[in-house]
Amino acid sequence: MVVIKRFNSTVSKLPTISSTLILSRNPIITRELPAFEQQYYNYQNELWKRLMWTFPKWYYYRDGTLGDQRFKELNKPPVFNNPKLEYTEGRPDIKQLRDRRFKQVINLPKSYKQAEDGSEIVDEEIQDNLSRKINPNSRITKADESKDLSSLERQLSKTLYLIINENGWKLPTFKSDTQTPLHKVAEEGLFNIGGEEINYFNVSSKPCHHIKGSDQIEFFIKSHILSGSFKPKNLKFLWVTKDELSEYLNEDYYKQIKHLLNE
Amino acid sequence: MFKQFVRFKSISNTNASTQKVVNQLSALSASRKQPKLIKLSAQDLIKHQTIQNAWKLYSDKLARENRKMLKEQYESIYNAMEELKQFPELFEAAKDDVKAPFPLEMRIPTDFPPNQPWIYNYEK
Amino acid sequence: MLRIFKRSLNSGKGIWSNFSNRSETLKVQNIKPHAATYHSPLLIDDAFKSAYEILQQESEKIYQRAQTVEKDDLKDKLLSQAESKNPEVLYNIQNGNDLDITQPVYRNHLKKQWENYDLMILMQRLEQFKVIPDTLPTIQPTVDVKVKFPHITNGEFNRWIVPGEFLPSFLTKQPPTIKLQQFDNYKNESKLFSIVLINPDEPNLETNSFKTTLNFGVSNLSLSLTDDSLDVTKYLKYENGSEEFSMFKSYEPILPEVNAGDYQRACLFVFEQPEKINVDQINAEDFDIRSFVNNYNLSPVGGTMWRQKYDRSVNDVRSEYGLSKGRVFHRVRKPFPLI
Repeated sequence: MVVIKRFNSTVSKLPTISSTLILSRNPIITRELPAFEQQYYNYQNELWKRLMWTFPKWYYYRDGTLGDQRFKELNKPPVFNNPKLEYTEGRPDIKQLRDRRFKQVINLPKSYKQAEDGSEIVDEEIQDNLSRKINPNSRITKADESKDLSSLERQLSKTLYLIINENGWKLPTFKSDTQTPLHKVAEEGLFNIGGEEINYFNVSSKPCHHIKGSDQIEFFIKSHILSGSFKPKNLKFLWVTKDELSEYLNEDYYKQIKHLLNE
Repeated sequence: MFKQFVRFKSISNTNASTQKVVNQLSALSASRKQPKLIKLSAQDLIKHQTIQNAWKLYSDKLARENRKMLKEQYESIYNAMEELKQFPELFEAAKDDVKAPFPLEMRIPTDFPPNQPWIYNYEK
Repeated sequence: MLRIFKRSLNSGKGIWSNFSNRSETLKVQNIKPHAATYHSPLLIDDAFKSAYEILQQESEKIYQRAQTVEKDDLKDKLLSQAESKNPEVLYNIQNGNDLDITQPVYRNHLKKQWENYDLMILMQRLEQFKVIPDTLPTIQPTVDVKVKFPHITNGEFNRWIVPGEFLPSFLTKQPPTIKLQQFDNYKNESKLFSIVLINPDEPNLETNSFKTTLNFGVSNLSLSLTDDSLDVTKYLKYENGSEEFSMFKSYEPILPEVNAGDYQRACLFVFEQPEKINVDQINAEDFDIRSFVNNYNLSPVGGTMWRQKYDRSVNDVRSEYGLSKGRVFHRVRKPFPLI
């Protein structure tokens, strides 16, 4: 006892260290705009359209051509300024087939056949045709609907973070010696528990944060998963957003790492 | 006397190629295409100013939060590196930044997801 | 369209629809409806509704902060800030409605407006015509002083005069209405003021120079934010004996004599008094304004000036006041040339 104590007093014992991995999946689609932002952009867009120049129809559709005919069928001319009439909502100010008081709405011919109700008439033969109607994929995926928290395809507009269940939910943490660099420890640890099929990008070899305990220090390493999947054996794991993370982690712990995480 | 009706505009004596250039330039120039100026009424002017005021307040708040977060992140890195000085090998390793190339697979968020939101079949 | 501004649209829950603690003068007044031929920009109302809520919430926070603040000037600033983005207040300000000076937001707006134009004009004229330092060494106005002569009710002079302009003698023969707009009086208290009108260009033949005459002097004038002017009713009350102030020099118009300089400057100064004063033994014919200010411990807070010269109405006004016909100055031929 005495010898050990003397040894301890001469050489101060270094704390044990661990490397924690903040593995994130970056958003795939743009964020959901808050209501005010959406309304502001819509309003600015209307102002912009109102101030746009008139479409130079004379340049694109020469008089008397078939294209001109089709354009005229789709775009009826605005109300004619008849000098003998009184207009209750103001006299039209027509120039180049546009009422200069308003924005100009141009209807262009559709590249696909359209039914009466506006839906597309699907033609089996031209399914791969470039002129087919563009139907964007839904921003809400199957994983969102089935509330599958372990899927990488959920919450496409937010950043997801990996947490695993080892006696409670936590970020993946790996014991480190004092020789191997921290980011290597994190990388090897991830491949050990989650398999090799992960396209992994380490942001920096520098730790982005540390939490100091009584005799141990926890360093944080940031990295992204780009493709592949995390497939552990006998280990529960979840991909959760920043908000959900606060429910799974210890409250004090979450407060300390909150500023490292993105929405 | 018969009144002289003009059926067509007088034909300019420029040749075809010049006329083409004139036509092309007309598509670029502002003449004939300017809309009327927006003249807001007193009420709408106040509404517009209110919207701009709120936007300024809102975006200032976002920018302030962002600056605060970046500052905290910087301080975190600084403190972590200071702490790491206890372990000289690790500190030296952390100082040499990873020279990994920027991953081409990383994509910019789009308004709508691709047909296959996530690529699972990755092999080293 | 009219409804949009009204608080009913915003369900009347926010601070801007609550008039139990806020003045009614912050409500919008005299909304002009749109012309029938007017077209609003599209989607402006949606964005306006959200913007209103955002600004209102911010205003509520500022009001809460203002309650915890003790210092008067800081509190006034916060109260002004809380209302400065309110669309109803903005409408009143921008559409020439009457502004309630007791409200911090309107008072600060008027102060800014004064500092950005009228004060600049005043300081330029005071410096250009060398009123400072010929009379007082310098002055830093904090009170907006406006002067008009109310006995002329029509014509070009029925307005507040611009500092430095030439005024005819028939206009200045009666005492002026003087309006003192205070901006730093946060609690609408009554403060004591003195006013003097001096003419530093009276020829002094003994010294072959000029002397200053005192043409009008008022002291112990108690004014607040709302009761802000020395006008005809106050002059009448003074004459009836129910005096509110003391006049140590009754009004005597400036009446330049023939060839007495290019023009004579009428300098009107306003001083704030720390306490009531009793002015006696004033030499109105050779008045020393600097010693006057020192003797009674006055602080100059504002002023204005105008110019006068001999015109065809001078003789009439002189006879009205029972004055002599006035001197006529000629050029004195010197025994040697000037250059």
